[in-house]
Amino acid sequence: MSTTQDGAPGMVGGRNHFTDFDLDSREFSDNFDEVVDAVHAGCPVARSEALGGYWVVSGFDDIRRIGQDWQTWTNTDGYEPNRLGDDNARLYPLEIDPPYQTRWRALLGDFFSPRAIRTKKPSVEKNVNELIDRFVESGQCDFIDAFAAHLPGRVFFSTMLGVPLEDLPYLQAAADQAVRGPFETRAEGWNKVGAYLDGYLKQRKQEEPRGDFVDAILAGVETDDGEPAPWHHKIFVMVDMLAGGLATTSILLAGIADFLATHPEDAARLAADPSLHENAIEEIIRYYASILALGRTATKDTEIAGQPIKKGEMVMLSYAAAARDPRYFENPHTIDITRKIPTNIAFGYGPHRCIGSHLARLQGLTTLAVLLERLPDLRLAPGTRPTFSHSTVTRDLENLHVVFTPGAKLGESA
Amino acid sequence: MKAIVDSALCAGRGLCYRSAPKVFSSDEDGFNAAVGGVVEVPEGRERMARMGASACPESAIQVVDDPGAP
Repeated sequence: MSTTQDGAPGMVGGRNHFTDFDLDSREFSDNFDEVVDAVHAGCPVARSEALGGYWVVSGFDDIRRIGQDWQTWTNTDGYEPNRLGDDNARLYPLEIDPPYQTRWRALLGDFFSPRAIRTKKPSVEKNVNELIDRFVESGQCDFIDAFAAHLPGRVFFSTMLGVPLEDLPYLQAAADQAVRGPFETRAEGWNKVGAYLDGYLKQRKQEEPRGDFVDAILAGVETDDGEPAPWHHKIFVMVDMLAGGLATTSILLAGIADFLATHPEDAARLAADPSLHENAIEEIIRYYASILALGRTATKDTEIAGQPIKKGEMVMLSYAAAARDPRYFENPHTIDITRKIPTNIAFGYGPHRCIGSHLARLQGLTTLAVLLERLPDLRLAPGTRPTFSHSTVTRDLENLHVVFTPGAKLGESA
Repeated sequence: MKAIVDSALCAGRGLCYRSAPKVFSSDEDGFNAAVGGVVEVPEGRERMARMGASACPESAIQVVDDPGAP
């Protein structure tokens, strides 16, 4: 029990995380396990004065209850603090409530169902192998720069959106800037992505329908007023799929490499027994949970775990903390590839639960299998270890330097 | 009462129709038969519908009381 290391409950690393929580603080990202233990032990609803003030909810059960109760907890005030008034760049269906949200999910869901995603396996595998070909002969790389930052964009742009291959480098660079560029240039990155997608949607509108995801968005759904969804809502949907699917999956892929590099016995076990892969990926998703927290706003005066919450106040649901709730997970900070996970709360809960969970799982499973086969002795570069950083909603891994015995390219046979 | 079954989430784990067989059923691949649509919950089966929904490990089923819901 480390909650009192500095004297007061909630004090870890020089900050009181009960009364002065800050999702973005180094005191949190540098002491993640300890802070999560402390809030689970003594503060299910922590207070933050950062970004205008918000609450942080960490309990698995509390998050499940709030996630389902969209009447009390609206998404229309944004997914993080300080989103009010900014209607030019929204993320839909994340930042709308049922029933409008339900109609979008019903429309988009068919393209993300396990049955639909299964058909993408050859394309994902090809992209994984092509990326590995680019560094496999060198025996070392920064796995994030070389692989994890690229696969989700390639998969999404080429297999889901069907954009021309020659546009991929531009779009990937813009998305990269938006998601992990220097903070002050991220908005510019999103503007580039939004402008490209706007142009692409307009172009596709003129073409013969392909019956794909883009045509579904073009068809759209009705708003709650019974009107066809306006054009800008369709752009918000496109941008949401990217905002939700790129950085989050990158962190998962980096997590897989970090895990294999630091757990050689588990890696050997997984190489020998592929039937363990699915469960291992669930556990890696739980442990590296890439969504640190997402927001809801109270539509009325209410309470969580005895803490009164006033109408209009924002709560950040910490999926990453809930994924380490000791009430559900014994030794929550240990990766146990045979652990049975009741619900992978890392994907959220309720109507807004991650629409791309099965696509993320497929990318994870494919990456795991190919890494085990092509880079079987993957290790962290001597003297290095990755660091975690936080950007309010995501938990990032930085600088994953790895080494391995150089291998041969698969080239065209990939 | 209605139960909305999200097609992006349903993974065919089968806990809904095993715990609430009078409300949910399975398709030929083991997914919820109403995936991507809505189940009209029969009168008197509301509690079972809630149980079936909360049994889903993917949280794919949303139960809605509101008669104006989609």
